[in-house]
Amino acid sequence: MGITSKLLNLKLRVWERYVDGNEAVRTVYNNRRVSDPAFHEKHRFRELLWLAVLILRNPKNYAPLGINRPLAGQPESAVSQRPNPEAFVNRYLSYEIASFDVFDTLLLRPFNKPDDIFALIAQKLGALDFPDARMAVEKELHTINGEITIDEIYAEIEYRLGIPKDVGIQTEFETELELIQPNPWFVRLLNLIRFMPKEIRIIAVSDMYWPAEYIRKLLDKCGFDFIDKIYVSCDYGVAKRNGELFKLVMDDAGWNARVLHIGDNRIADVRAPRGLGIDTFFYDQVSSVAKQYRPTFVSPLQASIYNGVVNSKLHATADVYAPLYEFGYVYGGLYYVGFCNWVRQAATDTGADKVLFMNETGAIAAQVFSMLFAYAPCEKLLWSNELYIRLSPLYSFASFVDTLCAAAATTAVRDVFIRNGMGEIATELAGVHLDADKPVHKNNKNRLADFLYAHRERIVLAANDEQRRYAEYLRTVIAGSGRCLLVDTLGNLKSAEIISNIVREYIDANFANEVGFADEVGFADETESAGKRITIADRLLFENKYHIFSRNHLSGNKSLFCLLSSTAEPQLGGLDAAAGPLPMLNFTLPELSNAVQAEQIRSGILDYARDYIRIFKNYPTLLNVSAADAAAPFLFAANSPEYMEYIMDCYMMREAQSE
Amino acid sequence: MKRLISALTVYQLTEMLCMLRPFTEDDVFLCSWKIWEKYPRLSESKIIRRIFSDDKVKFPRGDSFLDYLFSEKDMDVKKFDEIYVGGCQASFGIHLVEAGIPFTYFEEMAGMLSIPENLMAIDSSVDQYGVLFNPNHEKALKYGIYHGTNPLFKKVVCDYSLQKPEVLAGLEGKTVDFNLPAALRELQRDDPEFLHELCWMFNVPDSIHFDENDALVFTQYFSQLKQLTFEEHITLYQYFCDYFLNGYNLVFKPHPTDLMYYKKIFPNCEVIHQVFPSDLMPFVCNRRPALAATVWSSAIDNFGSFYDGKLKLTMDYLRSFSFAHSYFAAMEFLRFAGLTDNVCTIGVDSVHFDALARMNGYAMHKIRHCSLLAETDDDAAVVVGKADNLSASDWSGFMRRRTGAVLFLDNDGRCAFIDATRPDIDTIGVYPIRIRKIKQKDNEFYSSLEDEYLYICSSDKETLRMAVNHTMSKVLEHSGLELEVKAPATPEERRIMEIEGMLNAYRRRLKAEVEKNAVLERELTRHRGILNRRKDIQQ
Repeated sequence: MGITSKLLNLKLRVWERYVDGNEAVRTVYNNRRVSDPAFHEKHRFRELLWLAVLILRNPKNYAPLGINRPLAGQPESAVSQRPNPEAFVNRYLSYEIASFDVFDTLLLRPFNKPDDIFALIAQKLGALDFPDARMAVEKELHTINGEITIDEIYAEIEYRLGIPKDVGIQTEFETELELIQPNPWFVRLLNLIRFMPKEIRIIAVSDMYWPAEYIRKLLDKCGFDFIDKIYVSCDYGVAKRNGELFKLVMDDAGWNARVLHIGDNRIADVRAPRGLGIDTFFYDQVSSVAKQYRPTFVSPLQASIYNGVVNSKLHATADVYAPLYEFGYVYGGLYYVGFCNWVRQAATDTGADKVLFMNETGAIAAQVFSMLFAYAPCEKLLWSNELYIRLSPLYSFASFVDTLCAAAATTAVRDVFIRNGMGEIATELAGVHLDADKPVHKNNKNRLADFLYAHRERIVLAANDEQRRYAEYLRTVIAGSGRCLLVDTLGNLKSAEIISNIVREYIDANFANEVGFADEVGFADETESAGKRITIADRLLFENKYHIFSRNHLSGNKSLFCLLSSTAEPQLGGLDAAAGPLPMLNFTLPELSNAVQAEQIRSGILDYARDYIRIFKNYPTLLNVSAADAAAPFLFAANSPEYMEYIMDCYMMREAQSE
Repeated sequence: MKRLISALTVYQLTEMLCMLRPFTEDDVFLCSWKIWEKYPRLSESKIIRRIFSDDKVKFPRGDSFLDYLFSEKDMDVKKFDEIYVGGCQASFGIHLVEAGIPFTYFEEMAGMLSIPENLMAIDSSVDQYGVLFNPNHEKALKYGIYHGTNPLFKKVVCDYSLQKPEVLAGLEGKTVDFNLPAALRELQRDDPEFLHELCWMFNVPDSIHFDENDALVFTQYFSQLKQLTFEEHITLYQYFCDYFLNGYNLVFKPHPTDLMYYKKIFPNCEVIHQVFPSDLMPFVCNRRPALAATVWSSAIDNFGSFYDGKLKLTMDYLRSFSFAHSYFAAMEFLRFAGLTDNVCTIGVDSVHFDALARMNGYAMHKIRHCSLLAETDDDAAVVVGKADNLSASDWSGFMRRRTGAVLFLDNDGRCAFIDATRPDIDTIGVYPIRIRKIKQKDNEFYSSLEDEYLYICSSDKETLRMAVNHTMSKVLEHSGLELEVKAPATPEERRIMEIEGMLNAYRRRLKAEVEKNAVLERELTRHRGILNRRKDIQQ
């Protein structure tokens, strides 16, 4: 073996072990590769060296695959094991005071770490160095002064960055107020306590730099407007963690009062109050319950937002969700948000005034799109694989014959003919000595093909009639639109081309259709990136897709990805002539054996999109999820064989194998 | 005579106090911590001298409490002359049965002996971690405790007025009738001091004030019993008040264990916050409320004669409450089409249906609830709910001979209309009517917004014409819903509605099958676990 081969082998081994086998590293590497392919091609070794330095400098961020992985065998939401509030509230029968920590307990920020909100504040303030400075100031002042106030923090920020103190405080508070979310577990618990037969005083105790009047506004916004009193460390100059703030609480309540305090910090919320005779209950932070189940992203802000939304959903309450619902929510939701934003961008770039999602697998995308961009016209275009076969004689008779013969090999020939609108012709099968009530076998397969070729003219004529009827339907869909963007999530480019042809032939020869293409794994494949479909794809975020779903990673993932677009909607079976100007659309009932499962996945995806929009509606830039980030959760799931098996088992209604 | 008296619930304790009085130093009471926590005055009472409770902190498991009693307190169960046990399916009852000690059995609550399936459903329910509500459920089942048939039961104390005759006949010779309201009234007459002491012990307020138009609602702790989710519990009472108690001032008397926030759900209601047994209510209120209503509470049965108006549903309402809209829409259509004179139903919650008709003023003089198609009158309007036990041929014959209309409700996941309107009977017209729900509030809103459908089938053209013209709307104030009931305007719309309805029905059927399968799988796993544990023990 020559030296070149040895080097290549070594490179391959390094690649497999440290890049391909590590989802976090692979994402960064691929992003780099695609951002400047020419440079990457020329300086591969330098690129690998850069990657090595990156990993060595931040080993935690690039932990090898195996540490973080999706939970298989049970729903992730079952891990947190929160008690039901309606049962938990019974404990309060023997207490006079119900005390709660505020942040990460009563209130949740939609981020993985609270500091991540500073990136959004920096955008508003137009100060890119704000996040680092803000964190540094807080830490330094804390070391010097102990309990600090927001005034002190922003006086220092004003000195360092020149941001006026009042502007800084107002911006940070407004952002907090905008994004803060109530913890649903506590909403229920506190409301139950509030209306208990026995009167119980509800208080909040927090180590925080915001004074009580600000925290009161945050609590009010989240529906906790009935809290009697708020004790904040910055108001009193003493903290929870050494018990001093709790002493004030007990001074007010009377030292004989029975108090139950709930919080998320083992020292400040458990050990310190217990030392004073206060009973406690530890509420583990949603982020710490779930951290080993989350993927790594390219964008730290997207990672933080995704983790914040998902963790709050799965781990804040006692609810346990169905595994497939979780699959949709956790691993499919962000993909659809990113994908639909990409479609919207594509529509804008091409001047399209309407987006058409091709039915069958585009139904979920259409729903998410409508949710995200209520103002942008979008419609589900009725189409199906069945219709594609019916019209295919017009485009490739040979492939039509192959398709029909293949179908007839497993199903009675008559049924295949009837399904494809050729029931009349089926009566003539006896003439060629074919038993219409049986499938064809290899000996008489050619006879069927010959029969079809012999009736070519009739078949084409029938297909032509059907196509004309479809054109009438299509006319109503695109009426009033100057330019449509057709999104084909089927991966069958031929369908999109047929529709384009129909538009040009029957409706408007000058109608400008662009075909934004997304194949069955969501994006165009490298080898297929040619022709007009790339006119949209190559300039946009989701263009860089082959590096995400490269062929190397497809083999096992394809079926899992298909689950993310499966729906149990009626399919367009064909179009019949009707008395009026419009044809009669015929529908066939969808495959129902997995209808419930498909519905669970769909609900999960839509709920993620709904939650995302609800929280970040005022931050449209956050919708601009890169392809790499959008796909990160899915790839994280797909890279775990155990999880894949678990989900496929749930989908196929097989009992998941227990260890 | 030394007596040991064990009660799991307040009802049982009250019953035993009334029945077994007077008490001496030798009488020992055992009660659950749930009673103890709510009624701390028990330990200060003049009536009860010695009482022990299974402190939930020290004795989270029943067995350890018994160990404590028998060892530390040096209590020998065999030395008692008589033992009385309520809530026998819990650890103490099981202990006695396993030790072969005879005792007197008290039914769980009034009438429960005749409907043990309700108690069994609660006891066999599991929480989110698969833990049984009653860890002794299997044993209780095996020892015949739910049915009161164990040979160690010397007497079975139950309320005769609420028992099925066959149940009493089966236990002949052993049963003892005890009616708590009658006993309390007797107490009021013969021993008012004892009643006063009882009221004091159970925190009964000195007086409760009712106004002329008050509806007193006795609640149950369905979500804590895991019979419903928290959200379902709220929705159930919202529908209950919207459909049955419209126009009344609501006064809630929560079950002592029910901590639901009714004041938040129904801001204008009154809640009787004092925790005390509802059975003692008639002795302290200023007047009778206009109506006493409950989904399931023995308080109403106990004092049936005390309350002027009375509304009591059954445990079936826990499943049928979500069909209230379609029941209501069906009644509205029957009224609109003038078909209220002769109505039959199949597969609907009959008590729910009747109560809805009564409380909403539908003059349905003749409602017959049938279980077989053959029982229905040919010219009656038939309302069909769950009818999945009927084959297509049953339907075919039924539909052919009918002259009256048939209203198919698509609830319960089994839209029977699909089976009934097969192509071979396509001469019968089918008109769908959609029930659309519009959300009116965000706070405490957990109702489904999915469309529901009614399918009107009739060979009578006039009825079908009425179906086409039928529209109505109703605002459900407490639920925060507006119902819009409308027939399709065009044939295309009608066809779409039919397909949508069929699709939904198929989905629901399938979902029901999947859920059934999952329940069976869970049962199987649980039984396998029990079997394995038994094997381990044997080894």
